[in-house]
Amino acid sequence: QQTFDATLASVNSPDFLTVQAMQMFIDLAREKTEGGVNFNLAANGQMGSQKETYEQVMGGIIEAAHVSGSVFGASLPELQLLQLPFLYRDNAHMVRVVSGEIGQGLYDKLEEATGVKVLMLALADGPRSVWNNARPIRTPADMNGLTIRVPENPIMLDTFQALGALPTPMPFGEVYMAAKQGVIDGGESPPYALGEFRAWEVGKYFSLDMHTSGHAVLAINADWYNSLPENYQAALEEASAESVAWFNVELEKANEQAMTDAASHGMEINEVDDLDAFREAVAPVYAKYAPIVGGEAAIQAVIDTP
Amino acid sequence: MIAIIVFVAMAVYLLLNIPVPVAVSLSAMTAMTLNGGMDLQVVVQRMFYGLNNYIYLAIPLFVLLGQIMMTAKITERLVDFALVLVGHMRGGLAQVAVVACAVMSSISGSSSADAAATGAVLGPSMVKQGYSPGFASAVIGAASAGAALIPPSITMIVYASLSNVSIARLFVAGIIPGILVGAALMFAIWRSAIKYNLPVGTERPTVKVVGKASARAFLVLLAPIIIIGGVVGGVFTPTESAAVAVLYTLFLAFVVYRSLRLRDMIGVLERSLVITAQLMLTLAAASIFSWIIARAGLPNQVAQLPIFQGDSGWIVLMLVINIVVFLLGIFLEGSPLLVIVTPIFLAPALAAGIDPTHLGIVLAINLAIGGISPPFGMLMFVACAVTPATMVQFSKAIVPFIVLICAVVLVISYVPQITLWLPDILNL
Amino acid sequence: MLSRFLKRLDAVVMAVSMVGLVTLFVVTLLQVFMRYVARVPFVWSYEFLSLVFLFTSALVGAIVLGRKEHFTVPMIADALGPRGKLWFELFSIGGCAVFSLIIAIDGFRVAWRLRNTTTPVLGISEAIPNLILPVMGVYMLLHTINHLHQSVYALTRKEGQAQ
Ligand code: NA
Ligand code: NA
Repeated sequence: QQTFDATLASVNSPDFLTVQAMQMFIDLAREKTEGGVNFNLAANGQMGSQKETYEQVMGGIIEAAHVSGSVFGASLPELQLLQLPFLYRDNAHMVRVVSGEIGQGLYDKLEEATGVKVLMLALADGPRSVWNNARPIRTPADMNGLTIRVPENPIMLDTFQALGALPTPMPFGEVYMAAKQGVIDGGESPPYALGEFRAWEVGKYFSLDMHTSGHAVLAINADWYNSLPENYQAALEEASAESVAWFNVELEKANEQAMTDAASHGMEINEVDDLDAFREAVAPVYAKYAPIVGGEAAIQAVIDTP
Repeated sequence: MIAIIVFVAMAVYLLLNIPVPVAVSLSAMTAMTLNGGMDLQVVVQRMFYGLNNYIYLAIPLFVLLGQIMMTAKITERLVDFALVLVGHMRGGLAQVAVVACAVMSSISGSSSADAAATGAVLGPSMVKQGYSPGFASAVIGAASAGAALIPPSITMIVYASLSNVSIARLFVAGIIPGILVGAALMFAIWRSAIKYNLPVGTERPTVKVVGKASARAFLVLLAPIIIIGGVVGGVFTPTESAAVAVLYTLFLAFVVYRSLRLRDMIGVLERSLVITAQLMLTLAAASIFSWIIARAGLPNQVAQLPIFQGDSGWIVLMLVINIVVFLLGIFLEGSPLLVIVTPIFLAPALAAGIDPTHLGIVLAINLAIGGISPPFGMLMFVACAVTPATMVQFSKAIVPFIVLICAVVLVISYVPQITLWLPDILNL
Repeated sequence: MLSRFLKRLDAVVMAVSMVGLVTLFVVTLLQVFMRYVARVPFVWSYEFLSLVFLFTSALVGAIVLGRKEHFTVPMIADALGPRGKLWFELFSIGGCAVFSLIIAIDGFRVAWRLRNTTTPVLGISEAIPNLILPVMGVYMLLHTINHLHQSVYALTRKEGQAQ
């Protein structure tokens, strides 16, 4: 029996829910191939940042990396369609779009262009919403002048600029102290991540503006993947589907639990008045990206996805 | 296989006297080339990210702070202050060295700067009072090694970047272990003072003398409050606290004490840049090294060793870490050593349930011991340079101190509360 | 020739780096001032300061290599006689040459690959910060060639004296 050893990199720690899904994938893959495919999990950013590990997968230096879907925009601008703000109704909608025809089509193009194949479509990372210690966000005007930490992602920067905030990219590890010191007024994250840095100690309000539902995937070097026997490839597909299904159920539970925890620590949680007002406010972002992501029709196709 | 190539290549390159950052990078490059010709662009990529990490922005400023304090003779005020506190004890000057190093270290981030600054003042006086040169140099070395845990500390900033623990938490965690090591040293000096009839340092000072020395040191002693208070209280980031402390020290040096001239600043800036660059290049090499170690799967393999499993796994692991780092510390030291051992032991420590903050403190004190252990050691060279001691004299006199600090390290290793209690109650 | 050129270059680069260190200090202070007094946070300071720091540490890193002031483990070298030491030095020079060459070539490849992507805040090409490593590689290579020249000179001169 042929055996394949591989490295699977992640920037998060092993107790992070997404990394638990990666671990589950690794275990299932080993089980289903009867020890034929062994991934070694290099968590905690041991192999570098998301951008670096994605490049390493592209270059075939490592086999696999857990990355956010937003890293692919630099290689295939069309893929930024999946990152547009206020596009999805909820996580489930996002999962249907990204793992459906639209997402699969785009990721096939990515594989052609870069030699990077994705598995585990799609691990939900939302709904991302704003927390801050100035005021509850109910209308777009409430965002005005707030310094909000965002991940290093151009669409996110454009979105918060359009909303009148001062978006500040900064590594996640520094967010807690930066908020405590008033370097930032707040940040944005999915509910389940609030506990990661005890958001309630540094932010008073969590406002469910649901500006985006991000997604993470497992990026795999296509040459390596294609070198596996077909029954191994099938086993990886199965392992991927099973761990994603498990993850998306657990994530909804974790989101609920995190909001209960945050509220019990005194964080004020509110819904926004009118999501359409936010959609209108980010019209410039849509105008900027529409030509890049395949026009109004492509955007409408996402919105029309049931 | 990759791991074996890396370690063998690194040992060979280091023994060939290739500079540490170059040797460490080359060993990774060698392993990548022999292991199927990986694209070496990843080396550049890792090196770039290693240099371009904004946590490190605090390093040049803390180095600058230490250089200003040394050049502006601010240390002498701290030594005078320590002298009135403990100078009248038997073996007084040796006790002064321990206290002065600790106070100096609460402002400066570099233990070799502490050793150089306090040693330059106290080394010659101790020998003049009749201490043997070996003992005098050993006291200065041990005192600055012991003070290495007291914040601020460049070692902690480096560890913070390698482990994702916040700098503030690491700084605070070092306080009690640092005081514990200092107290053990003072106890040991007191014992030898009686045994060898060491000279009494000064006469018991009058209230007036105490008042005068305190007043002279008062303004300097505000600096640690700015740094530690500012960081712990969430007023400044560590980088900002260093910048504010530099501004404050410049004000003391130029305006209050008038002990620094503008043209001295050229030398201060140049030395700071050189020290920082030595460190940064080593850190950049380290990020290449930790990448290849992770690629080889070594951290996970260590974590899965049967002896590290179960409830007592962490006890065995802690012992292994102490022994390995102590032995490596004989040949390598400071940041180069830290960047090699952290990637190997962090994942196993986390898996065994060791708090990463606790691991950082244990590593830091072992690094300090490496600095005073012959035949190489930055602190040893500094201590011998500021006293008439030869390395042989130093080596003989330092052994009891090393044994003592090792004993304290075991206590710190196996009673995590000593390290974690303070940062935990401060909620850092 | 090379040695005189490098001496001058080092002096200029060191002076520029001193300005860099002072900038780092001043901008960090300004950052505190803007936050607490003017109540306007700097958005660009992190990226800007990282860039300044990256450039100074890489360039001074090359100077430090030129001065042979990086950390070393001189165990074997110290045990050799003066002449053995000169020969032994060739290993270190060779290692540094290979390292500098790889950094220069692959660093340029990385910078070239990233020329069309921009940094998130300042919006400049990623190639600009990334070019510092190949520049450092070339700078180190020059110093290494200079070291080689000096070593060969010292070795041949001693041989000449012995005859
Ligand atoms: Na210190
Ligand atoms: Na040593």
